[in-house]
Amino acid sequence: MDYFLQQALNALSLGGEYALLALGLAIVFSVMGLVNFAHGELITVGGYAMFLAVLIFGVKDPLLILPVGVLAAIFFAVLLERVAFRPVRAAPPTTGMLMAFGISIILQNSALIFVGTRPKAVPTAEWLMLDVNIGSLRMPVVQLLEAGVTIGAITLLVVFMRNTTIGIAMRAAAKDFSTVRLMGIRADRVVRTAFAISGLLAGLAAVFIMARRGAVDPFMGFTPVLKAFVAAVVGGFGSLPGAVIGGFALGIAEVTLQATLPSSVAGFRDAFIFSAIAVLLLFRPQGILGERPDFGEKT
Amino acid sequence: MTVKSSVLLGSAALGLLIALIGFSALLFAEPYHQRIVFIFMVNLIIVLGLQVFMGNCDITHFGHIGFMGIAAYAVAVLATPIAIKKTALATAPFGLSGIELPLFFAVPGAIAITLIVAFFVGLVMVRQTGVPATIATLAFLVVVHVVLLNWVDLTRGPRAFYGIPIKASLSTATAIAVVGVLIARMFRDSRWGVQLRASSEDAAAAAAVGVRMQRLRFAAWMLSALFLSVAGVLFALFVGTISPKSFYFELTFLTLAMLIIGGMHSVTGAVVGAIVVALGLEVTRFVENGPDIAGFELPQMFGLTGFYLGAVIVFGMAFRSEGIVGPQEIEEWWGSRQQGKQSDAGSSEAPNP
Amino acid sequence: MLEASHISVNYGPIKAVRDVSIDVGRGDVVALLGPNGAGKSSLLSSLVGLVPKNRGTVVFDNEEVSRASTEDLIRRGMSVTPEGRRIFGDLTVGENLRLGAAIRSDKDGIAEDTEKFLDLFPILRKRFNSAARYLSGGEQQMLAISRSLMSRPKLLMLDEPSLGLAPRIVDQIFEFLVTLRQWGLTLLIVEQNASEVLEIADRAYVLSTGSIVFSGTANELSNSGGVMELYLGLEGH
Ligand SMILES: Nc1ncnc2c1ncn2[C@@H]1O[C@H](COP(=O)(O)OP(=O)(O)O)[C@@H](O)[C@H]1O
Ligand SMILES: [Mg+2]
Repeated sequence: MDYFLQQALNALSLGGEYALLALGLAIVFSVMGLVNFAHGELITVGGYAMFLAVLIFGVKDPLLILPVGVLAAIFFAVLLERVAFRPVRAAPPTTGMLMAFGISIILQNSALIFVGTRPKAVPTAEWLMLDVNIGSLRMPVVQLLEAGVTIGAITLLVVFMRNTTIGIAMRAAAKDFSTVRLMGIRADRVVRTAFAISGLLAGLAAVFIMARRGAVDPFMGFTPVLKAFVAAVVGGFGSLPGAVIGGFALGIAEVTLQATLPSSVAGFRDAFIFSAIAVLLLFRPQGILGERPDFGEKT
Repeated sequence: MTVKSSVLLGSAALGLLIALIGFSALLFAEPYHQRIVFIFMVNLIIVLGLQVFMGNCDITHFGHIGFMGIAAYAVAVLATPIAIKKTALATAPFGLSGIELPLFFAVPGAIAITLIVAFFVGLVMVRQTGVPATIATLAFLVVVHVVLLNWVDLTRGPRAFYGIPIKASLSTATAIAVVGVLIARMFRDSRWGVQLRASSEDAAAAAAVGVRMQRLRFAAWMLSALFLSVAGVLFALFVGTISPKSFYFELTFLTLAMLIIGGMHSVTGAVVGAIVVALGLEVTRFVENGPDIAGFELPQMFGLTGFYLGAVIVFGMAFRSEGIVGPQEIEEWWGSRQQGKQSDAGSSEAPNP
Repeated sequence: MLEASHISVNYGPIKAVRDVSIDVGRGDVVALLGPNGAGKSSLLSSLVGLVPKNRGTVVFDNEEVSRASTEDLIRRGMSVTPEGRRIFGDLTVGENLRLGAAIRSDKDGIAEDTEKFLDLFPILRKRFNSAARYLSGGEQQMLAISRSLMSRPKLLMLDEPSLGLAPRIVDQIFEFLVTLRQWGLTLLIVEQNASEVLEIADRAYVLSTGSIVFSGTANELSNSGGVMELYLGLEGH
């Protein structure tokens, strides 16, 4: 029973991480049709910002380092929108996607050139590394927090999308952007808000990824975001609830396989999962909550 | 099947260019440079294979190098001498450590294995559209990499697989690249290719012929995999030593950048992009290694080649999203320039409205 | 209120609007008529900045706004009920109205206006919290017009408000437009359905293949059998 609860928490925290990232991808995609392959670099930027905060400003208090990571990711997401994605906003979706892909390669290699190949250590707050004992149960603080923060962030996002004018406008823009503009709502503002939210969610994920790894390297954003992409496809690409469901489903699948696969084939875990998803998509090409594909791209 | 003369003309022009590069390297270049040109030919074949799928279906493909990896490892496992396998691959499954096929069987065998994998992956792929299709190709690349890394008994895992017979030559690679151009052009301008391109441009028309389009897309997918498997076999039989990281993101980025910057909607674009990016790449590699230039020693800048590829893609997308060449083939390009000249002359005489 | 001069709109090689000038005075109700494909929607879209004008100037409320963005024009007091209604089907009726008032910040005024339209169209009150896509076509049109009025515009442009609706519903819509006229609103109504709109319009323009082929008072148009028959497929009076 304890073992089961422990694994459930694992699945919840890992799934939460994927859900946060997949949500960020889905929000940007639903509002402006951009497949943001540079999303992973928001995590990396958050990580390096935390590293620099320690190195340059000597920030020691881990409670201060965490917001630095989140704010850097938000700032960077908005910056990318302004300098890189606004010029291709009206272009076909492939152009925007390849643009994002190029940006991602540039950022990874800039980190290689200017910071170096080797991972840079970022101190993690000690209390984050502790376990809490509940009865006979030992729960790591990081995981409890991650699960809690994810659920909190998703709840806040739902409230935001339902109760603020800009949130409602973002939902409307997902289907019909030009009519949103006819309401006098500025397109730039809607898009910028979408990027800021995706940055916020990526920043939160970055904080927890950093807490687990204790170091930042140029390619750290890749794997989590690949998983997030897959999660978003499983949930139904572009659907926000789909992103959350897909993220948690992937987290549960990974933790279950991790716990049950014999060690000789444990290395194949991701291959098993992706193949299983391929079979799922054979029967339900549009994902769990997606709409049937219309053989055309959304713009 | 009849081949349009324009296709032959365009292929001949591009083929001549490629043959020229290949044979001047054969005649005049040192072995080190011949090696660079061989790798260029392999990359060109990859880019052509990528064009067959991406250019006609308008779906970004991140998984092509996965097929190349499968073919390279397949030919390695089949053709490597038993003597080497005894030490390097003693625990291979299915009794493969005791098998050594002549190339005459090993090469078609490797290609067939790759195509069988492509067949099953293709079943999933053609049902996907747009973004999910692209993510699926990316996931495929990762799956291949994970398997190559972890199936240690068969692939030696992260350690290099060595001892593959070195049998490929620059002249073979050049000849295959030339034939590749012709095949890619024939497919693009065949009835299938034309239908495929029309349906990827127009969603409504595509829906009307939905099922048929899936079949056409499947054909493009398989042909693309054939190109990639040939590239993988050539590569393995030339370098003799391979490892999983030879078939991962670096090569994916490089070949994608080549196709995108040249213009993915034409075979001419694929060829031009491969040449332009390869030239730039050699310069960047030179600088990356921190050379002495006029007495100054430049610092080593690890990551510069990657930066270069990213920059190529970003600038391409920002300023010329159809690539250097655009959607037109070389012979159309020539024709439309002639036309352009004529209409320019016409408009300069007309009074300003 | 609105003076548009020498407007041209091209889509690549297609010339959708050619050198069109129209004039809408304060408090006027102006009809813009013409067959399908004449360029009416293109003209409207260019006036509100959704498609770029190749040529021409627009003066709105005594200010030159030829290059202003859509968002800006709405904030200055234009409003459009687009062709095909374009309500936000996933959003609730209430959320649709709320987006209509997005440029305003006077909470009390917004609440007051919302009440006003809910009183006028009780069905909207009944469906206030359900997704707008479940409304009938006529109800969606009422919502769409109400939504474009929530910004308290000086000029309302309607693109084919009767499109695809049953005759009884069309009558209701035109009754509502008469009410708007009584409120003193300036209206530019695009229609193919000439007979109904000419009953409530002061003046009319007829557009055909991108050019103005008639302009005058609604009466003049009703009495010019040639234009009516040739361009609008109707028997003149
Ligand atoms: N987005 C567009 N792209 C290309 N052509 C268009 C577009 N919108 C309209 N057209 C063309 O412009 C002409 C005018 O169309 P439109 O303004 O919709 O006419 P109306 O509203 O009077 O029916 C038509 O020939 C139509 O095919
Ligand atoms: Mg119209």
